Amino acid sequence: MKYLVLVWAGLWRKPARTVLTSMSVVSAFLLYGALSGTMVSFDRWVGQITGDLAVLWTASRVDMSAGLPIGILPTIERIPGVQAVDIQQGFNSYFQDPKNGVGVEAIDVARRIRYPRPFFTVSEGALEAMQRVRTGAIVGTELMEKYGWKVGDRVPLTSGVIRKDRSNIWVFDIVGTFDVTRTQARADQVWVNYDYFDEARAFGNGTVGGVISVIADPGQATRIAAEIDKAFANSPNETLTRSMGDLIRAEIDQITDIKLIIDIVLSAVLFTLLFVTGNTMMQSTVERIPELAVLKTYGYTDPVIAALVLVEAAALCLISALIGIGVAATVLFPLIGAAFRIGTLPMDASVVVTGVVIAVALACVIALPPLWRVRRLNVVDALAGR
Amino acid sequence: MNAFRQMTLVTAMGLRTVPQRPGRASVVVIGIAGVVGVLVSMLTLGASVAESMRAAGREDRAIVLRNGVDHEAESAIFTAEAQTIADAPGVARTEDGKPAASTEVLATVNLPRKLDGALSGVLVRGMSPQAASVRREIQLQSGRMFTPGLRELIVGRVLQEQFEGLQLGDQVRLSGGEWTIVGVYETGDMWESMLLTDVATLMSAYRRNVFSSVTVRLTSPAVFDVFKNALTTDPTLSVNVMRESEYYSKGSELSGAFIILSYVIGAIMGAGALFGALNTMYSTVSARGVEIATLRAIGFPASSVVVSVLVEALLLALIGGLAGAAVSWALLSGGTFALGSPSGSAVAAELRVTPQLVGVGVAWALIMGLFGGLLPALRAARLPIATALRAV
Repeated sequence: MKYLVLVWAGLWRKPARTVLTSMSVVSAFLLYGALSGTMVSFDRWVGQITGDLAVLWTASRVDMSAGLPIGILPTIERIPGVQAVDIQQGFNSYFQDPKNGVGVEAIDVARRIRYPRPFFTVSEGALEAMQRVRTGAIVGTELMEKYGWKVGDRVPLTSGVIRKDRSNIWVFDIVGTFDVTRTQARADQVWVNYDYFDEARAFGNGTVGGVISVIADPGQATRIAAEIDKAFANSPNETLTRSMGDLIRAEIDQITDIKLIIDIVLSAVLFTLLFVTGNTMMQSTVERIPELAVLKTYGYTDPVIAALVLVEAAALCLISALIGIGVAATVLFPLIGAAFRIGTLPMDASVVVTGVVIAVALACVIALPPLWRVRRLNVVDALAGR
Repeated sequence: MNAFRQMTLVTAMGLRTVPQRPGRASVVVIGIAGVVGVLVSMLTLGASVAESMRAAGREDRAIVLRNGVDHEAESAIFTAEAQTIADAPGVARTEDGKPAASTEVLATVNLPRKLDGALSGVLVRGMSPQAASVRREIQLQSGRMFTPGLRELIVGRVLQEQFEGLQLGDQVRLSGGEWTIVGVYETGDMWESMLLTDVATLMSAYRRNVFSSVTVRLTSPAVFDVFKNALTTDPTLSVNVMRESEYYSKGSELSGAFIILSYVIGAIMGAGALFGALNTMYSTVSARGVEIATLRAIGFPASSVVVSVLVEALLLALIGGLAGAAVSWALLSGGTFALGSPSGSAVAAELRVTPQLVGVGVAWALIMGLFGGLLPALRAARLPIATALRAV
């Protein structure tokens, strides 16, 4: 208990300095928590939305924009371990004003009925209605609300995809709606018949943007992906198959090597701010060497004095670090989540643990030089202020 | 003795004591250098990409896309429409009297990055033979121009630095077979992050029969409205006409986000360094307490003490700021950096640490120095003279 009092008194010996030092450490760990935390959480988020799907994504290896012939589906379907395959074909459009962007997905209705997409609920009878109405569309509830559409409405969507009649306005009849069952997905798309879309478009007929394969065992993902690609090797339609998680990670990576930049920035931030605070705290301890000499005179042993210095430094670093990471998690994370429209990211425990390790390591580095002086301290000299 | 001379004297005296406390001075200098180094480096990455996009768009060129589309990759222009566009009023002429209009087609090819070998999308652009007169900034650096009809490509200098397998003579796998790199070109802007070839050859390889876009060179920037009106009022056309400068400014959202991120990091990190500087200047003031009190006792006014502390803080901040900017210049200058978008392809840029960015960094440093010095300076001015003198 008496030791705690000593540590506490030491911390508040110069309150202004302690607060300022603490704020420096808070800033460093705020950035650490925000940057490192975002990277880790984002990776986990990708894993969460894709990990339980056991889904592979096949696209053209040569040209992502070229697409693949729809005729390759049966070949993929026959590969052992593949449970079901589906097409992926989307295009961008807008409703009335270019600012009102609407994503359109052309779906194979028969396959959707056989293998419903997880996390999506489709209104009663909508898929069956799509089979009757070639120009039918199933619209996400979010979009229905935004534009005040009703089932039965006929909506024109303008797009870069040209129709055989040379128009680029696509008119669809809303036959039903869909909603999402988890927060990470969004009900802001329009689903239309692939058969109708493919027949009406002027170019690219008979191709799809990609092929989705549902696999039985996620552990076999690498093997099955390799087998799919092997089946089309040296053909005019070479494929590149990846798991959904790898695909999203690759797309993020493509923006730039964001991870490398963040790592470099973080190292610079931590080095700079820890140099600043370390130096300040070291000075403060050195100033107090006469006081430590007093303790030594009273009979406190070197290890006890060492522990006092170390605990004081560690307390300041740890508390500040936790405040910084806490603010990152509670204030910055919701902002980052909102900016990327993915909801609030959870702060990962590993980020907190690494932060604590860095804080303790910092405290040790700071406490080391004064400890060295204290060990060799000549009490008479120190008390005399020499 | 006038007030200015008093201030100079006290300030000079204070500065002469700085070398006696290297530890404290280094906290301010290194702290601020680190902040400015990170800020200037990140801004350089973002600004270089933004600048390379901005530079690509010229006032005297217009780009024509399908109506309702604002990106080339999603656009489609029929051959007949392309002819109408080329013949529109305001389009400049090439030396042999043809319209200075380039009909273009885009494709994306996956190539391995040098950085980590990961496949990343790269833009392949087919251009018509008139392109040389539309984009006169395309300069061959080595090799030769592609030959229409042959599967040949020329590669942008920056792209060549960022990706594997793009040396002269290398083969690149596109749809329909192997294409050979026959030349390296420079433009000084984002166009250096592409592969270029002949439009007809590319379209036949990809079995396409529509163009993506048409870019024309206008006789002058002022005729844009005439050109645009002619196209938008033509009932046979349904197109979106933009100044090229406007088109490329739309693509700068990502680099804009990057620049905002730079300032956020710079601000939080700057706050951290500022607290360190405050700490240092406070302890400097208390260490110089006796000296300051003595000066006040023999008649120097409080204002000269305030100025002395402020000048010291600003000077240390300036040194830190310049050092930080120098480090980022040494690390980044002359390098290249690629920024892409999930849907599109990489935009690579040559990095330039411009005087403006150094200016931003130094300004940032001086703001930190000012705030870091102000409160301690006021404390110094309010130091009770008698008490401080007794502390001897």
